[in-house]
Amino acid sequence: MNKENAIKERLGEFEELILLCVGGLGESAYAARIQQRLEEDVGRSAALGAIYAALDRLERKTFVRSWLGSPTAERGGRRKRFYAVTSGGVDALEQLRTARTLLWRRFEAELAGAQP
Amino acid sequence: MSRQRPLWVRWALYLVSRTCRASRAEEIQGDLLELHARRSAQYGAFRAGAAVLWEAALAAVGRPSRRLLRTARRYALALGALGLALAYGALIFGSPGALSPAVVVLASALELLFWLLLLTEPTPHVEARS
Repeated sequence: MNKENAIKERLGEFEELILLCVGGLGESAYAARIQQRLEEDVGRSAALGAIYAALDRLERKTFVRSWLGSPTAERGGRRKRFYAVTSGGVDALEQLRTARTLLWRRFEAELAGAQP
Repeated sequence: MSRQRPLWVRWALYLVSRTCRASRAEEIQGDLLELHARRSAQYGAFRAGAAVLWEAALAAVGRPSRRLLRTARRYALALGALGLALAYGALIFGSPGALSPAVVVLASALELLFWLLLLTEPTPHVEARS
């Protein structure tokens, strides 16, 4: 992904969290599981509607891809839509992490310098 | 099976089936059923049912509602413009007492609506976020 694309297809904070959840859930990433993971691991309650909207945006930005699974009895015979992170999504996350790490280092250096 | 579901959950599933396209409704309904099972264990049946109905409402109308709001805003602006024209038309061309007070009040209210909507035009930042 070139710099122009990276700027155009910027990741929001919520999108970043969703993308990390999708990546961390591997083959079993779907909206209800993502919501559960956000609650359990991040302590953040998000409505399913917000998660669908974020997933739709991420799919438009080609950071995730989705497919429909098979019907399951636990969901009353309804199918799940699974999500997986694409290589573009991994690139976007890595760019963000690199930028954050750099900024944190500078921030910590500034904090250390300001200590009496 | 479906008869055993609490009424609120059945309402939630119905709401989604009526407002979303079929493929999307299927996945949302499945997620709602899973969510209901999880919330029931956390909160109990009543609160879980209410939570699922609320989630269904947000998931089902969350995106179309923005379209609906934009359309409603457009119509309200047109209505307000009509009020504006009526109010100034009466002021310029009408003789005192020619229009009934109700029409003047209505025109003034519509004019107020027009200016309110015009002055609260969403900023590009808000539009971009939505």
